[in-house]
Amino acid sequence: MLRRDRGALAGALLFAAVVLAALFAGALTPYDPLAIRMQDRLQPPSARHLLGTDELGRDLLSRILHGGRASLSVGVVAVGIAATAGTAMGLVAGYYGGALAAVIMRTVDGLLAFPALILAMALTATLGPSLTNAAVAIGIVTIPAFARLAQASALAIKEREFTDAARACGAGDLYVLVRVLLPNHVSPLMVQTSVSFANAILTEAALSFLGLGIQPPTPSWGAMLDTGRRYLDQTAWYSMAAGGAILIAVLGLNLLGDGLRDALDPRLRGARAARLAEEPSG
Amino acid sequence: MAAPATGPASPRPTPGGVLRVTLGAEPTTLDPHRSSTLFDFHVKDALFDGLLEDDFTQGPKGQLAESWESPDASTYIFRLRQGLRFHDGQPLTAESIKFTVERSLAQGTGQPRVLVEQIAATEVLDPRTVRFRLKAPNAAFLLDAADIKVVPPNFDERNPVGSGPFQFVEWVRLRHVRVRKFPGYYSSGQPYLDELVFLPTPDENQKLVLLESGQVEFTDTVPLPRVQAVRQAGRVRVHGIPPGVSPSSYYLLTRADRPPLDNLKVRQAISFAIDRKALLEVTFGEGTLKSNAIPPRHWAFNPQSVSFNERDLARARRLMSESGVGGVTLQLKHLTSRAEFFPIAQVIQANLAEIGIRVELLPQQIGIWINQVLVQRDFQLGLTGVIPPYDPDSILGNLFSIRRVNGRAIGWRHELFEKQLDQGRSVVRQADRKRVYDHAQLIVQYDAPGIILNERPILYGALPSVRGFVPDVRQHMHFHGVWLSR
Repeated sequence: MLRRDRGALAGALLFAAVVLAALFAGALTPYDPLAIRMQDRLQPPSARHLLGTDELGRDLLSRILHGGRASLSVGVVAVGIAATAGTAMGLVAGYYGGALAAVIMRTVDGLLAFPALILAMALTATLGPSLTNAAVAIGIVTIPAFARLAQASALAIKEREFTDAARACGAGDLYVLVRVLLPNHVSPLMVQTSVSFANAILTEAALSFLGLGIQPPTPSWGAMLDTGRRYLDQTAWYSMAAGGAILIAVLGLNLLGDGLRDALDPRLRGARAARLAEEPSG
Repeated sequence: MAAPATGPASPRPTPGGVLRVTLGAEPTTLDPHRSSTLFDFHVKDALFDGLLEDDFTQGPKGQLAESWESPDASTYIFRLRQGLRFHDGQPLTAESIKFTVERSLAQGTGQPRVLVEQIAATEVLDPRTVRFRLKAPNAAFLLDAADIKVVPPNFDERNPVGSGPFQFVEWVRLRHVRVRKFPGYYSSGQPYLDELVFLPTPDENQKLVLLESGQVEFTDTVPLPRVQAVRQAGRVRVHGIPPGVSPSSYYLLTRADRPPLDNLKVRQAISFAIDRKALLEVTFGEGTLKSNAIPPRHWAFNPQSVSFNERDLARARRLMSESGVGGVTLQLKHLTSRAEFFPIAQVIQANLAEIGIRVELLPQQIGIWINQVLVQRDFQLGLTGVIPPYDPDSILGNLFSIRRVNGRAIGWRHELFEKQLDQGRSVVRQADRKRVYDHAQLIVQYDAPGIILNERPILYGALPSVRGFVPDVRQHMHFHGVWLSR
């Protein structure tokens, strides 16, 4: 299905490259991302330092690659929290309805009422700035997206014949929730996951930019973007490298998410097919 | 030294004009007896005068006082200038001095309060003559007298009236502090400027942008990464103090009365582990390599005391293993008011990792930092910039003595050191005093209760039209002699 959509393919490749680069960061570059060498500081890109060096003489490429680990792990943890909690809350609310749904969904609405970044800032400021706390905070603010989506799915799926059939066969609530509703919710869940993953990376970068995310000396794209700003007129590379890394990861995920949505949503698939058909082929 | 950097043989100053000056942070108060940050001092110096001018590199100079004498080191008599007035027109007399001392004692905090605590009695001999009797001899009292800023009896912080070259107009929080020329200033013709506006501007690069685009005429710092380029471009003048003279330092406070930093060997290990040459690179070579609070070109400097200028990692590691302290994590609270605090803190973090100390960094705004570190003593390591008065008693006392603000935060008790300070105050001849401070430096450099990390450069940016500015070793900004050429 991805082969039919070049954007999605490009997205998948970009994101795969980011993941691989982060996983093999240690092997891809000879430099320790924490090793300070003042005499080499703020160098432009060269054969020795492909992206130049930062204000403490650390190799920027190593820091970008290692920074990817931090960003990706924040993304994984945050989306993990949000997808698990949000989907569970949404499915339960959608399936049972009534007072339970009201309580769950009003809580979600409450979370939604705060701008995500502000809420994440408040949470990290309270919990204390660190990688884990940033991930938890971003996870919490991402819950509403998953909960709303799951509730909508549950409302639709529980009215379908196959749900009635399952219940007629004697399936209990838990069985229906886990074996009927959840599998039928997988497509939108995947799309939402890729989009939320991209947002999590962006939010983490914003928190680190503000000094509330990953703490030095651990490299972080957002913090590098912030520090690079101070040396903008000496090495524009510094900020550009950090910004570029964020751009590639987020662009990849968004293209992938778009492609997945097109591929997985039956209605859009029809629309897309029709659109494709109108274009001259050959 | 500290020569006026005002270009060719000064033409006659032209009066008038507005000077806009950036400040690294909002002042915390305009009450001169409660000021704590450098930014409080910058505004305070415009509004208030002391008995003497506070730059002592060329010896004491009178400000409100026209003459002074000291029959012995615990008695000081000041004779005021004639016809002094406060901004609101009331006369400034010896009674005002007495009131000022009483007020700082009753309502003052921090350094301004410490200054007056040494005074046993303030006696008004006649309307223009005041005599201080000190609790103990203090040969360096003249410098302290310069820092006691005089206020009228009905002083109100919301409309701070003083007798300085400028009088208060308004303080719009987070926007500006405006002051205007005080026409009744004692020094004839001065100040030349009609108005002075302080603009809190936390971002150093923004300060330079404001200066280069003519939106301010003067900046209180120049971002260190850009000093070279700015000097070469020549559109903006960089004023500064030659290196090695000013007691300005980056200062790492250690909480020396709590484990693990109560352990002498841990403190020594930290000081040996920090790479001060790398730190000098962080400041782009501006400032001076030093590990002693007394500047290397100061008359009281003791080259025999322990120097940490050369990093000695092997020794630091040995000291750590001897200390029996291992696998420790320390929190380092550092200021954000200058850009270089971030990389300095990171170099410390990397250096200490090599001797098995994990450092967590916590950047804090100056008001929060002062409250947590200096007032509540809630810290392990605290990184700041300090700039004590020029006398060795003030330099060593302000940074390390348990009786002063920084020393109280550190909590380092050393009886012999305190005795040396007392003795240094009681003798008057410089050669005798030098011997005492030589000894005090031996003690403090060995014990490393607070760690000096090079000279913190003092640099100002100004448009070429700004004339008559004289940088002072204490980083006080004086604008009474500044004028704008057209």
